Amino acid sequence: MRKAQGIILLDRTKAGFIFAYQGGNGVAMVKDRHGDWSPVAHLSATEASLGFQIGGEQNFFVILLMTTNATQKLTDSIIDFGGEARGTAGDQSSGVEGQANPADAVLIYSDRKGLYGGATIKGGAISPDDDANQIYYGSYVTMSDILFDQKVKPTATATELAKKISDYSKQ
Amino acid sequence: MLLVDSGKGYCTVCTLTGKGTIMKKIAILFALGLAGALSLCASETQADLDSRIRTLTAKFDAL
Repeated sequence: MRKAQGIILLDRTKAGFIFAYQGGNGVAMVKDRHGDWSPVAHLSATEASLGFQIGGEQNFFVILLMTTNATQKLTDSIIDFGGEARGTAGDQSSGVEGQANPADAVLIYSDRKGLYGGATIKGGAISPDDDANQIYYGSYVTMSDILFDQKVKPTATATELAKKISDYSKQ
Repeated sequence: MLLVDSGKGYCTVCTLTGKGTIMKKIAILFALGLAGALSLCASETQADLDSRIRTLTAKFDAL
């Protein structure tokens, strides 16, 4: 956590019967060269699908971006970490950070299964939520404007989140 | 998928939509799909987005 260059918090819900709704939303933040966290950029992870599906599930993911190359992918129109995402699927042991390989660019944690397999976040499933960002900051801003170019100021809510992340980073 | 027998003498679509004409079944399925599509288009306010961040913060804190 201390070494993370960026972080994504993502809520995903899957529910449906025949017509399934698989969606979610989240936020991303990156660390600047002084170690301060950027304002939040909103993300969406929404897709609808058709097929015989019944039931539902909800997962919360924390995705740590350990390199600046990984954080740069947040400016892509479709955020795909592909083979860079690593984890130990289904590892429920405590001290999950100890399980991570220091060479991994992207680490994924779930509220259900600790450090999670990269395959859980499918490529193309996450994208910038431009509409939400426009509403949140009152004008059209790109992911780069928010995360790297300091064109917006962090809101009070985002500052609170950044403080939490910083506190955990020190532990 | 549509031809799978539900065990009640109806296909799965008929089990879901009940008896009726093919147009009624299509209408029911369309309504279900439309409801899902509309849920993707719901607009949010700045307060909604702040609330979303607070929810994510709480979940992060609890992880």
